[in-house]
Amino acid sequence: MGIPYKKLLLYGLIALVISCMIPTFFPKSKYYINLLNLIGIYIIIATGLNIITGYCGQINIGQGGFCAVGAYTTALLTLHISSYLPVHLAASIVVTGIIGLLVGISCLRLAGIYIAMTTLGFGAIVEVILFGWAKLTRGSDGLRDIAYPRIVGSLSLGGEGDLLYVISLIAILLLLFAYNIVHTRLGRAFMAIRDDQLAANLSGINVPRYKLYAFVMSACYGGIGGCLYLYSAKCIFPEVFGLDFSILSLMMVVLGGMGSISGGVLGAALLTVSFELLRPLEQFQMVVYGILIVVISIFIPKGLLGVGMGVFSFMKRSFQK
Amino acid sequence: MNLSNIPKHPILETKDLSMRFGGLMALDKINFRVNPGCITAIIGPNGSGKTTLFNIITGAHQPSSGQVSFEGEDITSLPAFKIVSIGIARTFQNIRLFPQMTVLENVMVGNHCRMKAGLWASGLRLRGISTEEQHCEEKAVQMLGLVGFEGDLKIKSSSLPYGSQRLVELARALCAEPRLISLDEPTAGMNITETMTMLTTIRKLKDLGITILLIEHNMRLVMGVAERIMVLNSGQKIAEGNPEEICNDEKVIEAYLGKKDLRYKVA
Repeated sequence: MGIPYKKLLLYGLIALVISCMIPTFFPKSKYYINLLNLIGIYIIIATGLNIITGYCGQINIGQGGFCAVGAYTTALLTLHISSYLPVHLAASIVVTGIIGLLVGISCLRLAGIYIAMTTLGFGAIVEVILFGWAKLTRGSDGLRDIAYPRIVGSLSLGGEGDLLYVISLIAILLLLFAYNIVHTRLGRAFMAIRDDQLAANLSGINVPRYKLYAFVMSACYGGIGGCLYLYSAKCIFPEVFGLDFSILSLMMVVLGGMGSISGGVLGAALLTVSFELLRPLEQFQMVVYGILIVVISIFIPKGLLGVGMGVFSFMKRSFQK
Repeated sequence: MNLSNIPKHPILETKDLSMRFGGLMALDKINFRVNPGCITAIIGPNGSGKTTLFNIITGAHQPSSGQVSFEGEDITSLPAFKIVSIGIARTFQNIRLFPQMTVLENVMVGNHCRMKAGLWASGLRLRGISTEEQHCEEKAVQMLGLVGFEGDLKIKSSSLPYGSQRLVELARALCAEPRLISLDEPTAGMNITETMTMLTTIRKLKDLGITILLIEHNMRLVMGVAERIMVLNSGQKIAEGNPEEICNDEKVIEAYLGKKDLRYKVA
């Protein structure tokens, strides 16, 4: 078997080059660049969620909470302390990592639906704190007018085009990291825990430890996503990453394909794009969007990637004849 | 019984091992030794505590009292995953494979405790990871060959027929490189041919120097393969010895077939 690492790297590079060429060739298409930024951010968030939910089997309905923490950490740092992107990223990773660890520890002895409830509660708590701690977060007014960050020295991001480079690079690196994880020893441990926790334990896997790895990883991905979202939106409010968002990100993973990195990417991209395509419907946008999601989940329980793979192998077989 | 054949240091030993589930005494002060390199069988009627004993040895349950030691070290309070890494692997009575994972991945999970790759090394694909992964995969394929598994390694394990699932489970346990392997009814639900193959496999494992502890209902298999047998009944050890001794032991016959006279004397 082995991992097609070189092939993967090639795909990554191609994606990077294409996404970098877009702002060069279409300098005025701000809307599309922003959409691409958003897709990149959601891909990161969904990939993190895929690790904890799709691979490790712990249903997380609080991913929004981690994103919010990442976004607010970055916003507060920009406003009060430092405007450097590496500092923001590092701080978001550390803060969400620690919070992810705490949430993970509180979920260790729970199973199935109770983990869902705990993470749901976590998301709600974060939202309430962000509303209530007005001194720090300005409550429902939110933190606005966040400037683009600086990368090193006086080199700062000039606009959404520059941001696209950053987001693409980070997204591809994080995808590679996740891909490596799930295709080696750790990934097998995650999947074993998902499939049969007792058998995993009796096969030599330290179950609590790997659950915490998965929790921290997904939290950090959420935090990084939140940090990048802030750059893209330039403002943040408590309700941006509320329960709606947590469920939406879970839908990206479920509809794309649980337990598959490319499935999560596909889900994130398609849900983001279809939401935008439905914008002309105005007040009916959410209604149709909701119906669409319900219909997809009823008819494609294995996720969009499952269908894609089915079509692909069907075509392959037809050609071989 | 030839006492000189028994080595001084058993590979596995239990001392006064008791397990109580509420009011039920599942195991009552079991003293039991497994000699290295031997095939030892545990038999007994349903509900006599065989699987409970297995669960305690492999760390799935904590005993109410008593001690388990492996190669002279106390392992009673070790967590299950550590017991695997010090050299005891097991299979289950009701097969417990990872259904959504492929056959190969299932077996590779067995090798988990022998691998070192951590989070950063795996994620960043540092030096040595590919070699370790490849080694693990080769090991898994080798173990599947050893147990006689034939078929696609890349299909989900849940789509395998029952007999093959047992083989995959055995290969997974072997992939942990155990010195003692505990097989909980390895031939349950198998037909005659499959049972005979399993018998050959068990002998092969013994030749590789792996100590085997086995729960089995199939008397033909037990008598054919086991060198020592312990008989449990209602949580108590009622007999221990070589197959011949067990066959002729009155208590054993009583446990399986009932007392000779009593019932019919009344009529």
